[in-house]
Amino acid sequence: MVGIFVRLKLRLLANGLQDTARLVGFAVGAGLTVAVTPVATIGWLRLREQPELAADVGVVVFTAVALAWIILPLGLFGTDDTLDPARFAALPLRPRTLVTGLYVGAFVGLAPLATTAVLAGSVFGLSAGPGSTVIALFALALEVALCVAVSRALASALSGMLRSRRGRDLAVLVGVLIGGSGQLVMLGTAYMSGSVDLMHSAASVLRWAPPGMAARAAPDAAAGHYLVAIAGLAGAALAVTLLLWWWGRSLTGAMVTTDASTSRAARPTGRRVGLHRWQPGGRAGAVAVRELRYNWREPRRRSAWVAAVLFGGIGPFLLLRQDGAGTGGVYVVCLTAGIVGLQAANQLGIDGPATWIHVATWRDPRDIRADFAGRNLALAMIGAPILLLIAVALASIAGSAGSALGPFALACAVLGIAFGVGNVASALAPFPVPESTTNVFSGGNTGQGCLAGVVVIGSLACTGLLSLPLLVGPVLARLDRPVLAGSAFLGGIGYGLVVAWLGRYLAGAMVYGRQPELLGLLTRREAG
Amino acid sequence: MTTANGSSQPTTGAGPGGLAVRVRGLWKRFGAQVAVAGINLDVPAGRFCGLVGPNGAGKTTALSMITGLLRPDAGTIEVIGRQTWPDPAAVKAEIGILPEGLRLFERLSGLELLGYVGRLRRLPAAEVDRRAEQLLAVFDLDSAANKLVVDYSTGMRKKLGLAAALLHNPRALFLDEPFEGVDPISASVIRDVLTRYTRSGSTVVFSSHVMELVERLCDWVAVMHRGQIVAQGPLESVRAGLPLEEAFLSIVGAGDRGGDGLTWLGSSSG
Repeated sequence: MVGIFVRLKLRLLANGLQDTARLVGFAVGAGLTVAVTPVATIGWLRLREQPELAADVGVVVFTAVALAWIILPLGLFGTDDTLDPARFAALPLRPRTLVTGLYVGAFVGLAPLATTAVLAGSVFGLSAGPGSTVIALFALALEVALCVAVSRALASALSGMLRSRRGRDLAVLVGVLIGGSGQLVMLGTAYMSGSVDLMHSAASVLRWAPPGMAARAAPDAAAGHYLVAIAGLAGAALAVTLLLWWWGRSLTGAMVTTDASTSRAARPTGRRVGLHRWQPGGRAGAVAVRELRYNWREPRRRSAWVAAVLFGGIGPFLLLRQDGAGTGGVYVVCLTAGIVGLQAANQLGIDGPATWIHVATWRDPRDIRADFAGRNLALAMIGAPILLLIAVALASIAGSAGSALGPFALACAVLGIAFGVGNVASALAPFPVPESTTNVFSGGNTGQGCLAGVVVIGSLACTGLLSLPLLVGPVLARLDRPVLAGSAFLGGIGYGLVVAWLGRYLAGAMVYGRQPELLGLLTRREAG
Repeated sequence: MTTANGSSQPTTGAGPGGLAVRVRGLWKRFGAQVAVAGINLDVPAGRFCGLVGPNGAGKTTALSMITGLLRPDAGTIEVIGRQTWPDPAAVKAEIGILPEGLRLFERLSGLELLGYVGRLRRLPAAEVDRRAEQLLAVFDLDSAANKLVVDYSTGMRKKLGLAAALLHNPRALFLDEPFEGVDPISASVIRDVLTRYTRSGSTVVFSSHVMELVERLCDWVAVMHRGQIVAQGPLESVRAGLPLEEAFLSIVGAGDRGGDGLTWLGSSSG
């Protein structure tokens, strides 16, 4: 049975890669893996000479990798849902068989392979002698097993929450979880670059968590404590088992219950307040209202906002704390703007097949530009107040709420740039994100995870590059040239608007010329 | 219900008597597979035209190209006197479409969806609201007007999709399998609305693999098989006195393949 799942996954991946865009994404991901692996391996091998340091580094790295498996899929890339559990609902499979099959299938893919490759050096780096090498091998296997299990189990369980009637309240909780673990990784990296002592104190705590237990096994064995080592491995294995049991429970629950978040609207007398009354004229206005409704009603977009806000929201506070640079640190809100603006990176894909409704009404590139304007407007209406809040909060912590003004202005400019970049990315490489009944963090179709990653990272990089000229304002302010600095800030906002407009213009022209092709991309049926 | 045939009007009675659809040498390939193999198709204005054929005959592909949603490999298409390609914008403004699969904006209510489509089509807001409420009432969707589309049944979706396609009072309607998966009550509502629509001189082209339905509704038929149009014209001349299904089978020469190989199937086989 497991073999069937693995072969199915392989077949789906291979079929998905017949598409050029996905192939490019896959190639980039594979290239990165090939580039990083030797560096990581050399690092591990050098650690072999310092066993005590190696043990600490092992614990921290294993924990960080496991956390990355939690945050990156949930926050940015989406989990690999090639084998969507809902598709197996009609087959006579016991939950146990299903979970086992899906779990083993989940190992087939670039991310597990890359994780294994990067951590492979630890087999030598953490061990000394044949006995501990065997233990290290087991530890590596358990670590990868743990990563895959925790990522799938969490996505499944959180999806259940976000889809439920009370999902909106729970969304905050989910966000704290995602954001919190993200911060742990940030802190970890900050500490690691700090000092060996800090690393040691971090490791002495983290070693009691399952990834740490796995990581400690080999060094313990190398020191002769074989029983302790085996106990550590057993602890990690128990964690995997528990996660799988949890995953199975939430999976079977998700498959036999319906989407409760919509039954709220099933009442015949819908509320006609607020948004319903607000109907601005014009095409852009109509699109903006629809987008606002979607951001509120659709679990996938809700989860995207939660992830964006906590990813980009809590991070700056910690950075500010560590930085201690005073009011200058408030500028990290621009990072938040970049992350919030990422939601513009796949604006056509998120509508998926429903895009035909737009296509059927486009009369000229102006209409397409209006659509993008509406989408950008909706994102800005949610994003800008959040940025303002974060900027003011950061500034208050730094000592003067008034110092939020400049950073907020620049953050708005960055948001505009991100929209411009996102509009072009949306037109250039749209990918459908099908709604999954079991996973609102789904990364999309077969083998699309890499494409999504390339789009996300590419957009971030472009936004960053295009934002460089904005530095002029803060620099002038530092140099005590208030008038010049003020005009630079104003110019920055203008620049952001221009980039947003330019991106919209380009996207309109690009989309207009290849409407049928884009529609084909977005309506393509899922393989399987 | 065979009396419904009597409602067919002579060509000259409807509109200018020109062609609503004129297709010449239309081709579409997907890789090695030829989906539409050089079809010619004429549909006079004011007709209720059925595009029939088995699954995979190329009906959806042909309709997508005619309505400007899919780029043809070769051929010319004229809809309401305008060329669909290379720039389908002018045609799309004049027609209503109900594509296959019926993907709508699921998280809008029925009323919101119609309001949205109307605004995308740049109709005045007050007019959109007026038409939307009337359409919802006619299609018996008014009680579900504030329900999200994601909670609609297939029949309700088809009716809502049709309402969205009619909202801007198009001159021609192109519907892909409008009756598939629709319960009899919804189907009869759809039929009534479409019949009323064609009586005013507008054109309906719809695809279906259900011959009886086409026979009952249409006064003009085009039969597709393996990417080609094997017969087209007024219903009576295409079926030549036979029921349409028999006429179709004799046109395409389908043999009897009643499952000789399935000896194991059924409880009596032991």
